[in-house]
Amino acid sequence: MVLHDMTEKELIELASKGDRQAFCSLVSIHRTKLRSFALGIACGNAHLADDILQEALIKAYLAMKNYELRSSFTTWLWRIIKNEFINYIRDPAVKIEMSSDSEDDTGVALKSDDSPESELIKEDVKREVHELINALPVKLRMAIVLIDIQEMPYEEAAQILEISLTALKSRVFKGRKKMVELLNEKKDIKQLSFADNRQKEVKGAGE
Amino acid sequence: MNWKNILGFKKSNAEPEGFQELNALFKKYRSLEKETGIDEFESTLFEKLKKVENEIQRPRISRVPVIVFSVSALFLIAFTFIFYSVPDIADENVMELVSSSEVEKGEPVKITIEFESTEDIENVEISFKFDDGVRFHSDNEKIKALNSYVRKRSFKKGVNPVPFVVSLVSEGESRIITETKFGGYIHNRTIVLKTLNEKTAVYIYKSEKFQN
Repeated sequence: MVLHDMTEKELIELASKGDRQAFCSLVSIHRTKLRSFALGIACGNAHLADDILQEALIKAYLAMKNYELRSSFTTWLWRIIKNEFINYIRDPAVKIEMSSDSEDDTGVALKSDDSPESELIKEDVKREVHELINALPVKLRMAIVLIDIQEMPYEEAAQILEISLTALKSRVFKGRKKMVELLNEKKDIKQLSFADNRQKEVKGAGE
Repeated sequence: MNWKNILGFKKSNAEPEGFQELNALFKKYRSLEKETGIDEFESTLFEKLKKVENEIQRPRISRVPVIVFSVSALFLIAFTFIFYSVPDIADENVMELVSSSEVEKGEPVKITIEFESTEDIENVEISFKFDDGVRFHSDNEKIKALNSYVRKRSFKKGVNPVPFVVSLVSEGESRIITETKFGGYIHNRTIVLKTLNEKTAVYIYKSEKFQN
């Protein structure tokens, strides 16, 4: 049987016996979500996200022999990745630099049929979300990325973060509240600068 | 009004006032995230896993400790333990005796633990915990009084020596436990100092634990 015909359970069994290819196949099943999570936590810095994610996956691979099939593989894997990011972010010497380059953000260049205008809009959306997430403390950031970016069920996210459902809801609420406040602040600044420009225009016209 | 309403929660989820705009932004973001395509992620991971496996499967002979004795001009009877700290998954959590030696009783003991790193690493923390019977050997009273200490340093690719000098302050058995985290592992070293009739016996044990 070839690897891509195997079920996740069969791949897990093989990977736990040290089958590297089976482990990579397992990773590819979850890759999009894992990378999206990593990108969210790393504020769009794709190189950093991939580096930390790969370090976490190496740890997961080495720990596969201890993995018990009774527990959810996805939750187990996510916990390892979450812990790797927490360890990285909590290092006082670490300051995550945001990435603004579109190719870095997604790992691929934007589609060729995108107009420059729509590319700019997409970049703005990404930058805005990454800026908002970057302003959150790590605990709130994890909760927001899992719930609002990954759209993960609360129960699953709580298991990954190893906290109660109530604690998770509280973190999500606090995170959202902080982000809404930041959005409003930004809006106020935009309006102020718009009003300022209008005033200058009016003055200029009167001179 | 219950407490959830006071805090601004809605019954089903945690939506603060003004969340709609933020939610719309998240929706746009999520639609962009789906554009992620195929790249070199898996192939890079595959190569990294291969490299890690090769490191683990090194012959055990490379981990056999080599003991180097040296005598210090400043009356220190010194000994240096050099051993490689290649993570040994099979021996996870098991203490392994890596070296033993004897020095003259009452003399300060210089111990150098050397770790082999496969890459340059910044900010490696090495923590020391001392039993009551052993302390750093120093003229400085503050240093002599320490029962724990954390040293931060960088590791270069290759062998990295970590020397320190201790004195026994009471007879019997005393331990020094060091913990160093790097390369995805917690490297523990337990140094046991035991006073005998005319000598002090020194044993070094090690264990590697997967850092999760």
